[in-house]
Amino acid sequence: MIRWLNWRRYGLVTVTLPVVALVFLAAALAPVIAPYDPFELDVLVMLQGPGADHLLGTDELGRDILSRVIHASRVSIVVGLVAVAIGASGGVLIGVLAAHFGGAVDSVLMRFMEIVFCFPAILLAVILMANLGTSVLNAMLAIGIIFIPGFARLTRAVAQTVQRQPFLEAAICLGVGPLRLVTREILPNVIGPVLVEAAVAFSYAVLLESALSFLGLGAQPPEPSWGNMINTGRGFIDQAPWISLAPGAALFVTVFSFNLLGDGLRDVLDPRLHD
Amino acid sequence: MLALVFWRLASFIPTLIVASAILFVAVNVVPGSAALSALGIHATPQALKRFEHQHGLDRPLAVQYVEWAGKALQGDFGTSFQNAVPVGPEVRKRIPVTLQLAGMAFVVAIVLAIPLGVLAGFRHQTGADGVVTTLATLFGSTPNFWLATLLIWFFSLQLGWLPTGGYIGFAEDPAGNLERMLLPCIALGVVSSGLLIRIMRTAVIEVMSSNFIETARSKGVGDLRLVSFHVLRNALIPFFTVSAVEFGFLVGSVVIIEDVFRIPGIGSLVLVGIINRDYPVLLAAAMTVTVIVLVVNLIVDLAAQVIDPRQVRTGHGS
Amino acid sequence: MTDHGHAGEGLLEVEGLTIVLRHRHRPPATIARDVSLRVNAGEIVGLIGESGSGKTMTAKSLIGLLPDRMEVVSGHARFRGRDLLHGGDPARVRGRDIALIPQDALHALNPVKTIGWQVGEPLQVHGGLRQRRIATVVGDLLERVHIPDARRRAVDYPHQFSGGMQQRALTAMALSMEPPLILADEPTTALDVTIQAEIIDLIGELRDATGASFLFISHDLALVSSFCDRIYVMYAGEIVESGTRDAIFSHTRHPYTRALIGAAPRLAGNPERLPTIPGRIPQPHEEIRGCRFRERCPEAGAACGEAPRLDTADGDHAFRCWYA
Repeated sequence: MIRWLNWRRYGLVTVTLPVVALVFLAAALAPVIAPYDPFELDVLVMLQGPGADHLLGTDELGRDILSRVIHASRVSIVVGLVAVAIGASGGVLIGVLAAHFGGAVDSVLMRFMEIVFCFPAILLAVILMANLGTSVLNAMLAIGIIFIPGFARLTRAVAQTVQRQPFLEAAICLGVGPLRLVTREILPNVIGPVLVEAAVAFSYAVLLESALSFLGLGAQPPEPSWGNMINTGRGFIDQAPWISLAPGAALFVTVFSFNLLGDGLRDVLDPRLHD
Repeated sequence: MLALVFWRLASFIPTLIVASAILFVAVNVVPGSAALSALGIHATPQALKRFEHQHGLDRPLAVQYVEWAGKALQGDFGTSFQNAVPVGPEVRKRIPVTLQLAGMAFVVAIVLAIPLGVLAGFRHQTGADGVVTTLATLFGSTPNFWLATLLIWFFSLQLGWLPTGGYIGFAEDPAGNLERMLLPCIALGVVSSGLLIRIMRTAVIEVMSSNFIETARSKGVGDLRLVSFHVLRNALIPFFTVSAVEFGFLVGSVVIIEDVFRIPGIGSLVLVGIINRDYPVLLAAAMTVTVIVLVVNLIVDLAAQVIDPRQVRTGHGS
Repeated sequence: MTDHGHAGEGLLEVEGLTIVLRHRHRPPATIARDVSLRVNAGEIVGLIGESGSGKTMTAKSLIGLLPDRMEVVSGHARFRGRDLLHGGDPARVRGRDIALIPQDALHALNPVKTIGWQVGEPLQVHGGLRQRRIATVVGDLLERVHIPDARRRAVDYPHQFSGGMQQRALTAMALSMEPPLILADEPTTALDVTIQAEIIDLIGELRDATGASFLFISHDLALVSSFCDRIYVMYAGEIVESGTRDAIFSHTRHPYTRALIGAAPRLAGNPERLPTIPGRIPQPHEEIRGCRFRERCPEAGAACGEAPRLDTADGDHAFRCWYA
């Protein structure tokens, strides 16, 4: 019985964490584990199908697809991490401010966040990229900005429930400083939900970065990214489908496992399953 | 009821103003880049100055915004930097294309989401629930441009059943239109259904825990009748309200899908504007997409209130 | 009305019913323990207890509406001699043979369906009546429960009805198939006192008119004193005293029943006097040795360390106490 309960609570995290760790490991150790140099051209093996030499085949310039897929994970991971960091820190800050000050500050901030939230994210990202210029750095910034409203809404909601608790109202009356209130009471309560949101946001950031690269607005060739590899592969889809297939599968598996991780974290943190 | 509609409409105006201002700023964040990209990096400083003056780009951003918004309200989106053609008519021509694509894709998403969400919610915490929930995550995790590429590869190139892309107006050739719309709608719809399934599931679980479900059971109502008469309509109210947000994502994704399938809609116009650094075009196209999203949100909100009798006050009050 | 049950035998006979709540990582908790009760044709029987005493679950188990993790582990329930618990589809019994009047009227009604539609639903589910005929029957039913302007109000939605009228509509709904037995689950709890009295009167009136039996579940002993023929008092999952109204009120044997009579606000006498029972009802999962009421009992003695059996004194009057 007890084992089953734990499985119910920790199962999803147990299954997805290794996959997620594998993706991070691949990104970190890309130069070591990639069988070939991802930039190395080899005209003799152009558009070669998967085989013993090139496990996932080669692209139109004879580059090894597997090596490029492994290296491309770096762009995705870095963009994901930085974008989530920007979104989470910005969002938590705004959320805490809105909850703390309340009143007009709160309504103005949250109404603004609400409107930004309504924007189709990809549209906003595309426009920001067009202006900031196409680069990985700008992709992080554009995607990070898009995440701010989500984190802000979440943080504000949590902070408000925390503030309304009687013991805190008492503490506020006794003159506990706002900084102490935020660091001791609000932030510890915000961490859980923010972590869940971060896992999901990370997967979304990876998706958005790939979409931008796919449209030619993110990582620029020859720098490999899953998005631009899929885009390149489109031109050769009839003769060499593996060029699009491999990076797409890597992207899909990464996004899927991060989404599941988010679900798993929710199971772990959900008080309803505790007892 | 009327007052409610009125207030919802009234709150739409500030939303529109803020949204358009955000867009305007987003497009114009880097000063001087418009002239530079329109004339190329070899343009002389004098030429750049002249271009900026000519298009009023040397004035404060706020002034430019007010002027742009004033004209936009009358349907005048300025002329393209690229070819001096008025932008308004070009945008209007493309609106129905994008609306058809987004609308049909949303229908695909809903057709998948409602039955699957009902199944998962009604059989909460069973095997069926687990399968549907995983499927929903799977759908939602699929990059739509990759799915689109795979669909083209399989259905168009391998099987040769459907065209690889392009667009024909429905009035010209209904079959040809639907043939070309099918794959893009599946690519968009399946991915969007991921979130919608979860929303429907949550809504059904919520309704199933209501007391009136037990009342219905106590009358001898069976499962099928319970779902169709008691659960569905109650669950659809929150479902449609929340799904409006997902429709926003879907419309945004139109930018990519129209590119993949070479569909001449608003989304591809956004990309044209970006590639050519043609800011009037970009601004008009992006604003149109945003307005579509906002209007759909508004309509869905109002519709949710119409199907909820608690919002309708007729005759005797309680 | 159809027949009034088998002669000499109760319409509903429950024997040794035990309900448990299965728990993921705790041993199952007993919700109702060895409950036996009987409802005769045309009778109004009260099932009384504090919240958590297991009275509602006992009633719900009869029509197969226990929550997911609860189940009947032993005992029998027979309706007109037919087994209710084993075999047979409870959905066929519900609404037709045994109807339920739920508590919390507002939430017990579907907010997006009209009152008339909901009152007529049992007819749609069980009977092959035509739509037009159903509308007529629904109108009659609503009139019977004294809803003013009944035919016109049938198209109203629940939120347009007052609390008392919602409860009347739920009563009409239960009556629609003219079932021989109606389980009324605290139908008056959410209502204010005058409307409570109206609903009580209505139930008495309907019993007289249709001959239906009622199992009336309540936490309020004083409320049922006026109209129940017989009363069962439940405490912590067990029947602690049962008998005719007269026996329960005039010859009270169990200290808990005595406390309940004392705790009930009375119309006569001193309204200020409202002695509550100290302590709280034990939780279903708590392991208790001896009498389950011992902790709160003012009359507990040495014998109470051992669980008392339900003893019958004179005729129908039974109680579970060593010192009674």
